Amino acid sequence: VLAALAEVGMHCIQTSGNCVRNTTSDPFAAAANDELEDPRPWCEMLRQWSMLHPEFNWLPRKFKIAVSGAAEDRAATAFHDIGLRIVRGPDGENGFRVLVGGGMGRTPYVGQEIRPFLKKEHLLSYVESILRVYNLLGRRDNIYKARIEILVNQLGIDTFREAVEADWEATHKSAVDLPEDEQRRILSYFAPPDLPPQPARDEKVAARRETDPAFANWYKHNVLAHRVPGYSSVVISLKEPGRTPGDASSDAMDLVADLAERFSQDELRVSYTQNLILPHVAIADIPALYDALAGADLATGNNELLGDMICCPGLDYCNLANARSIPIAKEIAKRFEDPARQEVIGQLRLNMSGCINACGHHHSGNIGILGVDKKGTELYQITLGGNPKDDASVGSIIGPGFRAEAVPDVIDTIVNTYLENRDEGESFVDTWRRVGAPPFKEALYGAR
Amino acid sequence: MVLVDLNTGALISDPQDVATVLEPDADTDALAAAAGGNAGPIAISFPRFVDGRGFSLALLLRERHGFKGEIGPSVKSSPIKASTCCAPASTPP
Repeated sequence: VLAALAEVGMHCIQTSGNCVRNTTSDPFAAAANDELEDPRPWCEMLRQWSMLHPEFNWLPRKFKIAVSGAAEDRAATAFHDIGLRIVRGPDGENGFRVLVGGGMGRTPYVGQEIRPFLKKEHLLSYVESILRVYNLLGRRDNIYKARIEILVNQLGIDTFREAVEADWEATHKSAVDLPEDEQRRILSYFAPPDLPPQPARDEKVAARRETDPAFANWYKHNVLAHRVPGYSSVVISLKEPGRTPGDASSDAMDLVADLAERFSQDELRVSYTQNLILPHVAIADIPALYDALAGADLATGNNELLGDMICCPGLDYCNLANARSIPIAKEIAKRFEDPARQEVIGQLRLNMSGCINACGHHHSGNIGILGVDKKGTELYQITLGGNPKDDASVGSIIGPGFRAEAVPDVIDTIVNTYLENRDEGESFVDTWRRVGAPPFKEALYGAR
Repeated sequence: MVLVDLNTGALISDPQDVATVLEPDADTDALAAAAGGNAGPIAISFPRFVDGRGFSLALLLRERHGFKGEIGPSVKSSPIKASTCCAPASTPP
């Protein structure tokens, strides 16, 4: 497998171990219309810098970095060890807002701002100073307290910042920051594809949206605005009800690869929400793309809706898991199968993990489900109010856990409570923050 | 305490020459003291294979304290993988 991967330039170096792992980013990078700057070249610079870095291969614990260059945070930067947001600086030039100490797992934290603005040319040296302080001061006596989030929260962000700034002042004149011509060389690998502008409105697409409700629904949720007029980014949902969330067969992968070649500049991406993305699709091509996807049951129009759950493999596959995830996700998907109902509910992030390690991101789900093992019985603990995007938050546990068979009813009750309490157009998180836990507790446990 | 070149296994200093042995929790003062006023080799102790603090100490000796002499791991500890931090002074850290 490794040899086959190597043939297409892929490897698994630093995908485990207490080192800097692969840098992640916005799946709509260089395509979204709310983007200030393409984050991918900076990810690549970080990747090259972190690969086999002599100083940071034996950190206290693993280390993850995310970069987002858009107005909306689609890379969950606040849940990374270092989160980088490209922002416009006081002098009109772009730079980075730097967050540090975010994470999930057994002690979830939202990242805190260590620097509101960092000049781009200092990215590597500043990240290096953060890592150096962590490498020297992070706990090594307890694997569960070794992540940088623990250090940042034990020292306090101000003390941590002082240590980083002092190190950076003393060392950043060293050679680690990339010279401008090298920056330009890496930037050149990420030149935008040649997308000749097209009319923003395509009559055939508009007509089909009028006459084909399934197409119209899919288009509404899975076709997203692109920075170039006449183009869009298409989300291929792998969350068809009844199917394991995020799974794709090799036939489906082959088909999607062909479609990427035909319709999306030969580019295909994977999102952390466990979907596939074709980033650059001409709007005129959308009906043909949709028909090809629909023929393979890949045209589920539920992107960002309740059915678009993030779900870990759980006890069915994972030897760390305490409880099943996939069968529960399937039951919930069945309960909310009706697209009309999901439409009424609107965007809602439901995330589920089968153990405390939080691979299913339950902490950042608007509704989070955590499977635990209580004396041999699977119980599901519900958290509410998590948010992976801007103004990120960790969900709060609403009360005692529920047995597996009760979970679909529980989610139903939570959703209905949200619908009863929300103001017009209000998101789940906003309603939760406004009304708090009482109405949800009352609905879930009132009868007890 | 001696320093070895991890690429060749050859001794790069005489045991008598090592001026200082730094523990991995050495603070700025200890680093400054080790780096200041002598050019003798500095040995850094690596208590466990997975404890990489010594690499950062080596970098700080070079970058922050301007130490130009030899730096290497103490041979009492596990032989850490060869790294530029443990290379002779002629190699940039």
